[in-house]
Amino acid sequence: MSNKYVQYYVEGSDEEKFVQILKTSFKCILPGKVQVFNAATQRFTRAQLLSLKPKTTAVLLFDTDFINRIILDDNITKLSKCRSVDEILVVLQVKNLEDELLRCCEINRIEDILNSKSKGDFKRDFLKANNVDQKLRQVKFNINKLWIMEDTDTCAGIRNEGRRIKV
Amino acid sequence: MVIMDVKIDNFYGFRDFHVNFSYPKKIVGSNISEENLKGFPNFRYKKINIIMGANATGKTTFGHMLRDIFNFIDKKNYNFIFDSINDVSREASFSIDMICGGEMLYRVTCKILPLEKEFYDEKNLIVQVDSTKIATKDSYETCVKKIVKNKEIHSKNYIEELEKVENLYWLFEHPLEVNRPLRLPKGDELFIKVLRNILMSLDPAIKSVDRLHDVDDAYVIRLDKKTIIIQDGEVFATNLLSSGTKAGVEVSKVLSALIQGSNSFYYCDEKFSYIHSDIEKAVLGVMIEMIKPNEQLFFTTHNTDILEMDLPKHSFVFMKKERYGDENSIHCLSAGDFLKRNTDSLRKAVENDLFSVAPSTDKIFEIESFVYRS
Repeated sequence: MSNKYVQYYVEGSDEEKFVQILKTSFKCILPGKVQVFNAATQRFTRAQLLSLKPKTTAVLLFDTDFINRIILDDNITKLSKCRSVDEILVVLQVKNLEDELLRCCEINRIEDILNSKSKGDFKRDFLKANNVDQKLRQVKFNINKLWIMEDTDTCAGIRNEGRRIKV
Repeated sequence: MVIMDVKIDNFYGFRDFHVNFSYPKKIVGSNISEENLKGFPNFRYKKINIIMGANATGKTTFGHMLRDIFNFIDKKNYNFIFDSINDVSREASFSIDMICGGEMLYRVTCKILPLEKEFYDEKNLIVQVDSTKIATKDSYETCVKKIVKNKEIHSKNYIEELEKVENLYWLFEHPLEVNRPLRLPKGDELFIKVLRNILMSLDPAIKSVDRLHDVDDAYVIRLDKKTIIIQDGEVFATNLLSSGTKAGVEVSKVLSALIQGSNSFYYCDEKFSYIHSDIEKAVLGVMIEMIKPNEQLFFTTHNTDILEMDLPKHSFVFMKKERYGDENSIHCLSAGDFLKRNTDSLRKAVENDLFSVAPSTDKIFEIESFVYRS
């Protein structure tokens, strides 16, 4: 295992759960601590950056369907000036987690993963379920199809570094 | 309120103890904003003081001594300091340089003559207060020169002397004592929000934390199937919360007070012994970000993860106790005096015991041999 540290900043609690599953159950992404913080809409504070360990790789994971480009760029600048941060990786969910899951699982509808009653129920079911990893295996989740799309609309000029966090 | 220099002799375990809280030059790109008196750019002071050291090296006692001094100065009651004298057959003394309101530097020196009768009284006490107005371009060092040069007239009456000092404000929080009643802030709207966030971070099973409307200064913590009431003045003895979560209540008090600038001087002593390192670092980060101008924070910890926080080296102080014959002596070392470059790793320095403060573990390993002996 690398001597570097990875700190994930993810958009919401469903992404938090998803990253924990990929990290610990599937072991298919770099291990690192996860904080719910949307770097595309919220500004980093100095208190957050102070708690980072030296030689940290900061991973910013967010949906592309709603971003504030000014805030995102400011955050990337702040992180690049932070002495504890060695590297910044931006991972784009195009356009959101549900769309990403549709692409990397063998399903027609997002409800099929957890037998949810509706699209709206899926997020609630996702957070409540204690067997998401099992369910993802059942629908043949493929890590190689996750986080690989570019978004040339709101995220023009930002490369999707999803492959850099996969192991 | 800011303290700049403290000398202590023959109180608690302190003998010829000295610590200074100024630093030589401005740190570019520091994560501590305004580490100087507001309006006085050259009057630099250590705003954040992280105190580390092995057990029984004086981290808590230093806090007790400062509290005794503040109480003595503020309440003009000599009993606050007489009780902490170590050897009554010797003279005891302390000296403190401090700024209270922001424009005057005070030096309070106090000597207590050896005890000859049964009790100490006013006749044992010699108190002198010197002061100087801080000019815009002054540093701490230039102000000290002015104080030494001034030759102020002193009253023989210690109360009259102490009345020269402006009002003091402080908050000391020491480690949790078993069965100590809780002291919660009254009518503090921010406190309940801070309490909620801290407790829910410490225990994800906590669903909500709210004010109890029918009872004064009481709060209800709701878990899945249970509720816990905490109230000002009551002992916090529930077994339903972990030690860390209970500690979180007192952490919330300090954090809320600091955010609101209620006290200006904060001594947060090992409040995080039961709390996960990440949470301790996060809380300290918020404290550093939220502390106001002309305020000062002392934070004692054993957590070496704190050493990796990107703070000026002068923010870290190490205490150690050394034995000389029959006597113990407490010393203070500033990391800033040893590590001058930004790139020097403080954690590596501590792990390699550069400051010679690591405890000895010889007697621990000696325990193994007890079994073989028998």
